[in-house]
Amino acid sequence: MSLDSIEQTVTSVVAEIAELSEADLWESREADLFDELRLDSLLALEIIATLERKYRIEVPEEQMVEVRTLMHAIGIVKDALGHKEGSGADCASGSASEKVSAAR
Amino acid sequence: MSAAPSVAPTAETGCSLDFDEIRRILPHREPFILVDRVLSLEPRRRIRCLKSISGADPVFAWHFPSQALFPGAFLLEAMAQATLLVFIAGTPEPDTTRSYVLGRADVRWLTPVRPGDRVELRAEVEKAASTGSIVRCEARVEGRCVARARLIVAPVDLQG
Repeated sequence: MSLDSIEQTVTSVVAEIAELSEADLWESREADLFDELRLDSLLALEIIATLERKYRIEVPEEQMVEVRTLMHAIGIVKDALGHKEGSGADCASGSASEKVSAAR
Repeated sequence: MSAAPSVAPTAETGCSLDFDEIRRILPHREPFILVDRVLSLEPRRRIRCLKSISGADPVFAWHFPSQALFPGAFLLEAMAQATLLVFIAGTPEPDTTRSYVLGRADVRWLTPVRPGDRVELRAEVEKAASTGSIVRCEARVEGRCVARARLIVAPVDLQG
Protein backbone atom coordinates (compact mmCIF):
# COMPACT_ATOMS: atom_id res chain seq x y z
CA MET A 1 0.00 0.00 0.00
CA SER A 2 1.16 3.50 -0.75
CA LEU A 3 0.03 6.08 1.78
CA ASP A 4 0.71 9.76 2.12
CA SER A 5 1.72 11.04 5.52
CA ILE A 6 -1.77 12.06 6.62
CA GLU A 7 -3.23 8.71 5.61
CA GLN A 8 -0.40 6.98 7.43
CA THR A 9 -0.77 9.03 10.59
CA VAL A 10 -4.56 8.84 10.79
CA THR A 11 -4.45 5.10 10.14
CA SER A 12 -1.88 4.73 12.90
CA VAL A 13 -3.98 6.77 15.37
CA VAL A 14 -7.18 4.86 14.64
CA ALA A 15 -5.41 1.50 14.73
CA GLU A 16 -3.81 2.21 18.08
CA ILE A 17 -7.00 3.42 19.76
CA ALA A 18 -9.15 0.71 18.19
CA GLU A 19 -6.49 -1.93 18.92
CA LEU A 20 -6.39 -3.08 15.30
CA SER A 21 -3.41 -3.75 13.07
CA GLU A 22 -2.66 -0.90 10.69
CA ALA A 23 -2.55 -3.25 7.71
CA ASP A 24 -5.93 -4.80 8.52
CA LEU A 25 -7.46 -1.40 9.16
CA TRP A 26 -6.19 -0.01 5.87
CA GLU A 27 -7.59 -3.04 4.05
CA SER A 28 -10.93 -2.21 5.69
CA ARG A 29 -10.66 1.55 5.15
CA GLU A 30 -14.15 1.78 3.65
CA ALA A 31 -15.70 -0.47 6.30
CA ASP A 32 -18.08 0.99 8.86
CA LEU A 33 -16.06 1.60 12.01
CA PHE A 34 -19.01 0.93 14.28
CA ASP A 35 -20.96 -1.85 12.59
CA GLU A 36 -18.06 -3.77 11.08
CA LEU A 37 -15.01 -2.88 13.17
CA ARG A 38 -16.82 -2.77 16.53
CA LEU A 39 -15.81 0.71 17.62
CA ASP A 40 -18.06 2.51 20.06
CA SER A 41 -18.87 6.19 20.46
CA LEU A 42 -16.25 6.76 23.17
CA LEU A 43 -13.47 5.29 21.04
CA ALA A 44 -14.63 7.49 18.17
CA LEU A 45 -14.51 10.49 20.48
CA GLU A 46 -10.98 9.62 21.51
CA ILE A 47 -9.91 9.23 17.89
CA ILE A 48 -11.31 12.64 16.95
CA ALA A 49 -9.77 14.30 20.02
CA THR A 50 -6.39 12.75 19.26
CA LEU A 51 -6.52 13.93 15.65
CA GLU A 52 -7.59 17.42 16.76
CA ARG A 53 -4.63 17.63 19.11
CA LYS A 54 -2.14 16.17 16.66
CA TYR A 55 -3.14 18.40 13.75
CA ARG A 56 -4.38 21.43 15.74
CA ILE A 57 -7.77 21.29 14.09
CA GLU A 58 -11.31 21.39 15.45
CA VAL A 59 -14.00 18.96 14.37
CA PRO A 60 -17.49 20.17 15.33
CA GLU A 61 -19.84 17.63 16.88
CA GLU A 62 -22.24 17.59 13.96
CA GLN A 63 -19.35 16.42 11.83
CA MET A 64 -18.09 13.84 14.32
CA VAL A 65 -21.19 11.73 13.82
CA GLU A 66 -20.53 11.64 10.09
CA VAL A 67 -17.21 9.86 10.56
CA ARG A 68 -18.16 6.28 9.78
CA THR A 69 -15.02 4.98 8.06
CA LEU A 70 -11.27 5.41 8.20
CA MET A 71 -11.42 7.30 4.90
CA HIS A 72 -13.95 9.73 6.39
CA ALA A 73 -11.50 10.44 9.20
CA ILE A 74 -8.65 10.95 6.76
CA GLY A 75 -10.81 13.21 4.62
CA ILE A 76 -11.79 15.37 7.58
CA VAL A 77 -8.16 15.92 8.52
CA LYS A 78 -7.18 16.71 4.95
CA ASP A 79 -10.03 19.14 4.51
CA ALA A 80 -9.25 20.87 7.77
CA LEU A 81 -5.64 21.26 6.71
CA GLY A 82 -6.62 22.47 3.26
CA HIS A 83 -5.45 19.36 1.39
CA LYS A 84 -7.99 18.82 -1.33
CA GLU A 85 -6.00 16.41 -3.45
CA GLY A 86 -5.45 12.73 -2.75
CA SER A 87 -7.62 9.69 -2.16
CA GLY A 88 -8.61 10.68 1.37
CA ALA A 89 -10.03 14.01 0.27
CA ASP A 90 -12.04 12.28 -2.45
CA CYS A 91 -13.63 9.97 0.06
CA ALA A 92 -14.54 12.80 2.37
CA SER A 93 -16.36 14.78 -0.25
CA GLY A 94 -19.90 15.91 0.32
CA SER A 95 -21.48 17.04 3.55
CA ALA A 96 -18.71 15.67 5.73
CA SER A 97 -16.17 17.95 4.15
CA GLU A 98 -18.28 21.05 3.91
CA LYS A 99 -18.52 21.92 7.58
CA VAL A 100 -14.98 21.42 8.76
CA SER A 101 -13.55 24.31 10.65
CA ALA A 102 -9.86 24.64 11.15
CA ALA A 103 -8.62 26.28 14.32
CA ARG A 104 -5.08 27.23 13.60
CA MET B 1 -34.40 22.44 52.91
CA SER B 2 -35.03 21.71 49.29
CA ALA B 3 -33.66 24.80 47.63
CA ALA B 4 -31.30 24.25 44.75
CA PRO B 5 -27.62 24.63 45.58
CA SER B 6 -26.57 28.23 45.60
CA VAL B 7 -23.71 29.43 43.50
CA ALA B 8 -21.47 31.72 45.49
CA PRO B 9 -19.03 33.85 43.52
CA THR B 10 -15.43 33.78 44.65
CA ALA B 11 -12.45 35.95 43.89
CA GLU B 12 -11.58 33.38 41.24
CA THR B 13 -13.50 32.77 38.12
CA GLY B 14 -16.48 30.52 38.74
CA CYS B 15 -18.21 29.49 41.96
CA SER B 16 -17.75 27.44 45.11
CA LEU B 17 -19.86 24.72 46.72
CA ASP B 18 -19.77 23.34 50.25
CA PHE B 19 -20.26 19.69 51.20
CA ASP B 20 -24.02 19.92 51.74
CA GLU B 21 -24.44 21.43 48.31
CA ILE B 22 -22.21 18.79 46.75
CA ARG B 23 -24.22 16.06 48.49
CA ARG B 24 -27.41 17.39 46.97
CA ILE B 25 -25.95 17.36 43.49
CA LEU B 26 -23.95 14.12 43.33
CA PRO B 27 -25.90 10.87 42.97
CA HIS B 28 -23.44 9.17 45.34
CA ARG B 29 -23.97 8.70 49.07
CA GLU B 30 -21.68 8.55 52.10
CA PRO B 31 -19.18 7.15 52.60
CA PHE B 32 -18.58 7.30 48.86
CA ILE B 33 -18.77 11.06 48.36
CA LEU B 34 -15.11 11.86 47.75
CA VAL B 35 -15.27 15.63 47.21
CA ASP B 36 -15.55 17.83 50.29
CA ARG B 37 -15.63 21.25 48.71
CA VAL B 38 -15.63 22.93 45.32
CA LEU B 39 -13.11 25.77 45.38
CA SER B 40 -13.83 27.13 41.92
CA LEU B 41 -15.94 26.05 39.00
CA GLU B 42 -16.44 27.07 35.43
CA PRO B 43 -19.34 24.85 34.34
CA ARG B 44 -18.46 22.42 31.55
CA ARG B 45 -14.88 23.77 31.45
CA ARG B 46 -12.84 23.30 34.65
CA ILE B 47 -13.07 22.78 38.38
CA ARG B 48 -10.92 22.78 41.52
CA CYS B 49 -12.07 20.75 44.49
CA LEU B 50 -10.80 19.74 47.92
CA LYS B 51 -10.77 16.31 49.52
CA SER B 52 -9.44 16.07 53.07
CA ILE B 53 -8.15 12.63 53.99
CA SER B 54 -9.15 11.65 57.52
CA GLY B 55 -7.67 8.78 59.48
CA ALA B 56 -11.22 8.12 60.72
CA ASP B 57 -12.31 7.14 57.18
CA PRO B 58 -13.48 3.50 57.40
CA VAL B 59 -11.38 2.64 54.36
CA PHE B 60 -8.24 2.72 56.51
CA ALA B 61 -9.52 -0.18 58.61
CA TRP B 62 -8.61 -2.42 55.71
CA HIS B 63 -6.30 -0.41 53.47
CA PHE B 64 -4.08 -1.26 55.22
CA PRO B 65 -4.30 -2.33 58.86
CA SER B 66 -0.58 -1.81 59.34
CA GLN B 67 -0.14 1.25 57.08
CA ALA B 68 -2.87 3.72 56.18
CA LEU B 69 -2.82 4.47 52.45
CA PHE B 70 -5.72 6.11 50.64
CA PRO B 71 -6.63 3.63 47.87
CA GLY B 72 -5.58 4.69 44.39
CA ALA B 73 -8.98 3.56 43.10
CA PHE B 74 -10.63 6.02 45.51
CA LEU B 75 -8.35 8.80 44.30
CA LEU B 76 -9.41 7.99 40.75
CA GLU B 77 -13.04 8.04 41.88
CA ALA B 78 -12.48 11.43 43.53
CA MET B 79 -11.17 12.79 40.21
CA ALA B 80 -14.18 11.23 38.47
CA GLN B 81 -16.57 12.90 40.93
CA ALA B 82 -14.84 16.25 40.35
CA THR B 83 -15.35 15.60 36.65
CA LEU B 84 -19.01 14.86 37.22
CA LEU B 85 -19.41 18.15 39.09
CA VAL B 86 -17.96 20.03 36.11
CA PHE B 87 -20.92 18.88 34.06
CA ILE B 88 -23.83 18.89 36.51
CA ALA B 89 -23.01 21.65 39.03
CA GLY B 90 -22.95 25.40 38.73
CA THR B 91 -26.38 25.90 37.25
CA PRO B 92 -29.41 27.25 39.16
CA GLU B 93 -31.20 23.91 38.76
CA PRO B 94 -28.63 21.08 38.45
CA ASP B 95 -29.88 18.15 36.42
CA THR B 96 -29.78 15.28 38.94
CA THR B 97 -31.52 12.89 36.54
CA ARG B 98 -28.40 12.64 34.43
CA SER B 99 -24.96 11.43 35.39
CA TYR B 100 -21.75 10.32 33.76
CA VAL B 101 -19.90 7.02 34.02
CA LEU B 102 -16.29 6.24 33.27
CA GLY B 103 -15.69 4.68 29.89
CA ARG B 104 -11.93 4.77 29.99
CA ALA B 105 -9.26 6.00 32.36
CA ASP B 106 -5.58 6.48 31.71
CA VAL B 107 -4.26 7.14 35.19
CA ARG B 108 -0.90 7.54 36.88
CA TRP B 109 -0.55 7.34 40.64
CA LEU B 110 2.66 9.14 41.54
CA THR B 111 2.80 9.47 45.33
CA PRO B 112 0.88 7.71 48.15
CA VAL B 113 -1.87 9.71 49.82
CA ARG B 114 -2.22 9.33 53.59
CA PRO B 115 -4.41 10.57 56.45
CA GLY B 116 -3.84 14.26 57.06
CA ASP B 117 -3.35 15.07 53.39
CA ARG B 118 -5.52 17.73 51.79
CA VAL B 119 -5.94 16.72 48.19
CA GLU B 120 -6.70 19.38 45.61
CA LEU B 121 -8.55 17.87 42.67
CA ARG B 122 -8.38 19.63 39.33
CA ALA B 123 -10.34 18.68 36.24
CA GLU B 124 -10.36 20.41 32.86
CA VAL B 125 -12.55 19.44 29.93
CA GLU B 126 -10.50 18.64 26.84
CA LYS B 127 -13.43 17.83 24.56
CA ALA B 128 -17.15 17.69 25.21
CA ALA B 129 -19.74 16.05 22.99
CA SER B 130 -23.22 14.65 23.48
CA THR B 131 -21.88 11.10 23.25
CA GLY B 132 -19.16 11.61 25.85
CA SER B 133 -16.39 13.85 27.04
CA ILE B 134 -12.66 13.75 27.63
CA VAL B 135 -11.36 15.34 30.81
CA ARG B 136 -7.84 15.82 32.14
CA CYS B 137 -7.50 15.55 35.90
CA GLU B 138 -4.84 16.08 38.52
CA ALA B 139 -4.68 15.42 42.24
CA ARG B 140 -2.25 17.57 44.23
CA VAL B 141 -1.08 17.59 47.82
CA GLU B 142 0.70 20.76 48.96
CA GLY B 143 1.20 21.70 45.34
CA ARG B 144 2.76 18.39 44.40
CA CYS B 145 1.03 16.23 41.81
CA VAL B 146 0.18 12.86 43.39
CA ALA B 147 -1.95 11.48 40.54
CA ARG B 148 -3.07 12.46 37.08
CA ALA B 149 -5.63 10.98 34.77
CA ARG B 150 -7.27 11.39 31.41
CA LEU B 151 -10.87 10.25 31.70
CA ILE B 152 -13.43 9.52 29.04
CA VAL B 153 -16.93 9.70 30.45
CA ALA B 154 -20.31 8.90 28.94
CA PRO B 155 -23.66 10.34 29.96
CA VAL B 156 -26.27 8.04 31.52
CA ASP B 157 -29.89 8.60 32.44
CA LEU B 158 -30.33 7.81 36.15
CA GLN B 159 -34.06 7.43 35.72
CA GLY B 160 -33.80 4.98 32.84
